Amino acid sequence: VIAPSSLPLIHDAIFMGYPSSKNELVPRDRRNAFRIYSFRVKKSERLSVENSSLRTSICFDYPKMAANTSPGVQGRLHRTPNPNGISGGPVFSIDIDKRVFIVGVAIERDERQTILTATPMTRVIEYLNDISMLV
Amino acid sequence: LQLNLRNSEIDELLVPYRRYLVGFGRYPERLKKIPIEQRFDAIEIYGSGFFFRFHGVTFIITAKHVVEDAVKTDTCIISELGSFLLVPYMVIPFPSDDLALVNLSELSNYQEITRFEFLNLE
Repeated sequence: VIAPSSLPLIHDAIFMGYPSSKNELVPRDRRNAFRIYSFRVKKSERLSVENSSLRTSICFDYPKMAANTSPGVQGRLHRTPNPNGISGGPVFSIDIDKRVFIVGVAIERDERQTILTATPMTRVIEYLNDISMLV
Repeated sequence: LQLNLRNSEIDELLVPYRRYLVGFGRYPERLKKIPIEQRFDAIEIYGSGFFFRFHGVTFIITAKHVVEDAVKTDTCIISELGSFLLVPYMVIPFPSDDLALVNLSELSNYQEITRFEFLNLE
């Protein structure tokens, strides 16, 4: 995996995490609650610099979310997964050569669960460099 | 530049990264008296994170609000490789971002995860 030197505007970012709770799966598939989902996004925008942290908000494409479930689950969800549990999960981007970049960490969602915000990995690495003498 | 990958292609590209992912979950209160191995299927997941290594130290990174909840309860962290309990002193919060690190050098006392894989960010 590649850590980019700067956060690209994410047009093909992928959130990855455990967004579903058991309630969102039909009873016979309860064990699948631990499946990991990746969600494609349809739009992103760069927000203003806030506390030296550059953030990118990402709008979910719900129709694609419903289709983009893990193998074996597709078509068996009775509604789209709840992205609550995706907080803290990685955000990936894929370039034209199909290389996978890790670009951020999901940190929050809005009330309607249509927008997630990510902190870029560059910010994480900056902080790690600051504390690397302490750990 | 917009990629035009099918969702199935994206899933395929991300398969290798699944093993780095962890989930933060808790057991419903009503199941606390049941043996832990029987409770596993009932974990309610409320957050995610992932393993990575930087300068020879292995961490889990996640959102600060996820670990703030986690250390108040008996939160179990699970991955495809196992599970362990999170304790407060393992957590390093970021000062100004909603991020926190879990330092896995503290993991030796919480051995339910005996091996794990990590993204190398060095």
